Amino acid sequence: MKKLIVCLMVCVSFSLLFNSCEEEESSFQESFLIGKWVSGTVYYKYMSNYTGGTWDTSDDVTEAEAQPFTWTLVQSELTHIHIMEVGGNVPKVYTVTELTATSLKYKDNFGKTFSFTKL
Amino acid sequence: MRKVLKWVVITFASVILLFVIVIGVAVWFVFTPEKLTPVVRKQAAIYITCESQIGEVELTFFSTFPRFGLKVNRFALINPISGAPFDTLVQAGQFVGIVDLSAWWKRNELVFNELQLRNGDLNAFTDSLGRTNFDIFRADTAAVPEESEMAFRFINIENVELENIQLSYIDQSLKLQAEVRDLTAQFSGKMISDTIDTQMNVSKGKLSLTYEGENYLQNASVTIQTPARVVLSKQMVVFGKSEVSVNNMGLAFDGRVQNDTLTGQIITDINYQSKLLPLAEMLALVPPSYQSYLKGVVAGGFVSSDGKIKGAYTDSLMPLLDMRIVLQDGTLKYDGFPVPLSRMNGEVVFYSDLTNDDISYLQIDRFSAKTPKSTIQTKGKITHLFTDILCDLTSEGDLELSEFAPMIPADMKTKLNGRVSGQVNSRFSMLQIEKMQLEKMKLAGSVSLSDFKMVYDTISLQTDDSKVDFSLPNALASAKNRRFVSAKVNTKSLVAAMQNGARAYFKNGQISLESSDFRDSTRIPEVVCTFKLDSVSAQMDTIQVAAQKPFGQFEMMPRKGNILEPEVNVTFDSSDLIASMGAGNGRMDNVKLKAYYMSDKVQPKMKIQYSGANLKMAMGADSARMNKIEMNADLLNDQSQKDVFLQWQANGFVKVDNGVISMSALKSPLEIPSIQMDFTPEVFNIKESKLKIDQSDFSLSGKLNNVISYFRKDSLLRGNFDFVSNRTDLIQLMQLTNGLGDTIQTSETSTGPYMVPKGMDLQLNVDVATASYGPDVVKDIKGKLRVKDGLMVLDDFDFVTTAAKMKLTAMYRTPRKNHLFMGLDFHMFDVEIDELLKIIPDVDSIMPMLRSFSGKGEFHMAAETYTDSLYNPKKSTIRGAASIKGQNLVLMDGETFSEIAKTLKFNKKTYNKVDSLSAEFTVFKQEIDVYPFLIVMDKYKGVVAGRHNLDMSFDYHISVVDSPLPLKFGIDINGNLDDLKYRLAKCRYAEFYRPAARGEVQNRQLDLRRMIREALTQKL
Repeated sequence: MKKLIVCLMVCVSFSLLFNSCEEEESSFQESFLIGKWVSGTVYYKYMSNYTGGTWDTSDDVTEAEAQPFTWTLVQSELTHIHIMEVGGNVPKVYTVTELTATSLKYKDNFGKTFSFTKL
Repeated sequence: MRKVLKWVVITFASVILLFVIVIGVAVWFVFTPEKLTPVVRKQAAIYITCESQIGEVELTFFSTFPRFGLKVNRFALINPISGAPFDTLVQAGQFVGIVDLSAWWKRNELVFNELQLRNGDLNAFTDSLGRTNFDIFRADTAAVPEESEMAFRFINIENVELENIQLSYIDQSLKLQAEVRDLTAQFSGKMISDTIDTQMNVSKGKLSLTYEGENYLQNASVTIQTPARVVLSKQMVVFGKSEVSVNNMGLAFDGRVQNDTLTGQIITDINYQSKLLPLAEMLALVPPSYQSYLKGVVAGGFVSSDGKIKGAYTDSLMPLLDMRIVLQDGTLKYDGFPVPLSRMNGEVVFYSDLTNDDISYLQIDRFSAKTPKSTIQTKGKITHLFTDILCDLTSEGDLELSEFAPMIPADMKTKLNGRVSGQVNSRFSMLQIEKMQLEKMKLAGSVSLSDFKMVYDTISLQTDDSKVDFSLPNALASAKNRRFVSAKVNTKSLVAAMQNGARAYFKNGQISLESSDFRDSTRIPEVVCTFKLDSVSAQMDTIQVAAQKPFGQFEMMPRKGNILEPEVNVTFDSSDLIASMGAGNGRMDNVKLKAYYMSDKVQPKMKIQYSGANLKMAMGADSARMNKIEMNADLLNDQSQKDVFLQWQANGFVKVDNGVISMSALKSPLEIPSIQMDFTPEVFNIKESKLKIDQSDFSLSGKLNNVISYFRKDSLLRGNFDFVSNRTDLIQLMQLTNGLGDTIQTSETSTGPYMVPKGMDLQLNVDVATASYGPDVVKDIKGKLRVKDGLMVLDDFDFVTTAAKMKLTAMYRTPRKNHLFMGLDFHMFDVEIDELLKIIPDVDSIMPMLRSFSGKGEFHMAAETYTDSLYNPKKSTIRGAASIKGQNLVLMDGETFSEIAKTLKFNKKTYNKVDSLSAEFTVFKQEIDVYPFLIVMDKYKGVVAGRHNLDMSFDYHISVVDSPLPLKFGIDINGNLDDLKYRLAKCRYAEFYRPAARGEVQNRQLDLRRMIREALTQKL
């Protein structure tokens, strides 16, 4: 019994050990997002009506052929809902780490980071 | 008796001797020259006003036996007159006058009734005022003084003989100059009352004649024999049978000439007849000033003429000439005529008074001539000789055209060869020829052409044997407006060619033509041309056309209401029509064509009826054949359109039976059992359209709207068709429609991506029993295939595959060749997961774990991407979302399961059953996100979430929320299929399926899952 208690204590300790405090979320100014951003050959365009488009010139796609999405920025959570022509949505959720008038950085849940500069 | 006779002879001899002695005494002793000469000189001075020179005068008897004469040696009359070239009027070495003894004996008058002049000159002269040098006799012989020893008269001269006389006559008032050299002539006459019967014989003389400065004769040898009666009171001369010759060219004549003092006319009535006269010598008599007309002319042969000259002659009148002229064996060479003429024979009548057109004519009874290789014959009448010469001729010829080729002006650029023979009847005037008034001429005939070749500029016409009948005007016209000309051509072979290689060949043809005056620019000519041939073939560049037994008619006429615009009717029938162009060729039997065309500046019209059988066409490896084609079309022309296709708006129908089209692009021939279609400019109504290709069969019916508007770019081409098929090969169907509607058609369209037709909105209501796309077979396909302006949509297609019953909406859009959109919305119900992976192998990339499951599920997927021209996805454009639900799935036994089972210490007896599976996935670019889903297996419950990439690298997390262990834990799986790494991790989704305990992030993820699924299934 004593061993069992010790074992549970250890588990609880481990459990507590693994529980970390949630970071306090940052908040970014949405208006900075409006505009056209580029990262290499990848372009994103954010419109004030929460729509946007993205295209990659390396794939011979022009701005006029940009694929549409809607976007929201809640505190640091930037959500893209990519709208398919055939019906269906593809959501992508990112955490903004930097948003200024000229720089946009965010990352996804898998640790992939993205960095854009404004055009 | 003998004595009597003796005495008679002696007596007669004595009388003769006595007579001779008396005559001799008288001549030699009584009337000696010494006695006679003074008497004659004295008497001459009395009767003659001019100076006379009289030599010795002697009385002759024996030299003028049996008459007495006075012979004057060295006789001359000199009468100078102003302007005369000679002072001497008469000069003779010997002048003999035969004395009228009766007048001398009874009345003591010296009367000569015969004159003889030898070796002398006679020079008569009349000046411009009419004064003459031969008016030398005193006007009133009564005034002769009485001292005259005897009267001296020259009247009643019965005979005048001239020998070796040089006669000159100059009349300046008439501008006439005549000169006769070596004249030997005899003039005799007898005067009774006012009538003189004369006989003139000019046996020798060389005549030179100049009139008004023109030298008409020069030393022409002249003889004349003419009896004549001169009636002085009537001033009339009546010629008996007379003959005159000039340079041995004889002319016989008789008749009369009278000077009618009342009317001032010279009345003639003369008959003449010439012998055969050498034409060359006749032409030599042409005066010099007219010789220019004969320059270059060398003529031979013989001419004879007879006729009559009758009528009055005045300054304004000419007697009527009725002349028959015969030409025998004539020859002619003329510089302006390319070939010499020989064997010219002819007979013409010239009837004219040289002033009156109404009665004048030239009648050609016959005329024939030969060239070295040709013959010409003609006859007829030529009238209106003095105004507009009118010819009415019937001509025959057999012409070698090469002989006459030099006559064609070089600027006509025409060459002729071959033979033309036949007869031509013609009636035309010179004015008509000059003004080319064909409408007033009459030309009709029949000519045969053999080995004929005509080259005009760049066009040539050649025939071995043809016959042309023509008539101008067309007396047997089929309509009143086709009376201008008709022609019928019968040809065994006719070849028309152009320098650019175009060539047409007609064999055994009959061509008839009737026409109105095609030169009339005030109206469209009315023309009808019928043709019937054994065969016709034509070639231009690589284009060849041949027809067997063609016949038909071409008819053109002025349009009613506007004669400046034509209406055209064409009928054409051929038993066999063959055509080829480059590598292509075609053939058709029983071709029948009827066409009508009406020209109109506002809206021309056309009607076409066409039918044919057994059409066979081939172009390289491609071919087509059709048992029967029929087409009727009414076409209206819209002049406001520039494009020819848009200008003609058609109403009608087309029908095709039993066709087969084989194309290299198609692996199997396209069979067309039947096509029936009505068409208007805007609507094509396909009533029936059955096609077969390989194992596929199609039946298409419906309407295509806005056709003309589409080509005007005013509207989309709209169509709504029912597409019914028992079996369809989709790949072949796409090949059939690839690239339709592209504005730029290049050969690349057949090798590049499939471009959806633009500018059209077509809907196919598809009902296909079985369709195949490569190895995949789909059944019971029902749905709508819509093609709209570059977008093709398979809308709500229901179909059944071996895996499941499915619903598919797919989009294929081709904005440009290197930017092609593909999207699909796919729903499967009760799908076998392993079959799903076979049908859509790409699902394995999205959800690689599915390959480990077996069983049935429900699958929804939407995916889209843009591709390049080679259909390679542009990864940056990939979007996708999928949802799968399964119950009682079986986890396939395999390496992965074994490894998991070993790690998690599964019960070895555990049946690899997955109680439930419900998952959502998204694809964005190369990222495939798997949203957290619960999987229950054995004694474990786990929540799986994560991401993998299209390069098959993984980043997954499994939260074990229920297990034999008293704690929840997680496992992170990283790496790729060849190098997977597992490690324990925090259990991220411990409370994922406990709503009360879920955190905000987990709720958010569930919201996203719900949104994905709802978006996928909202159409169902």
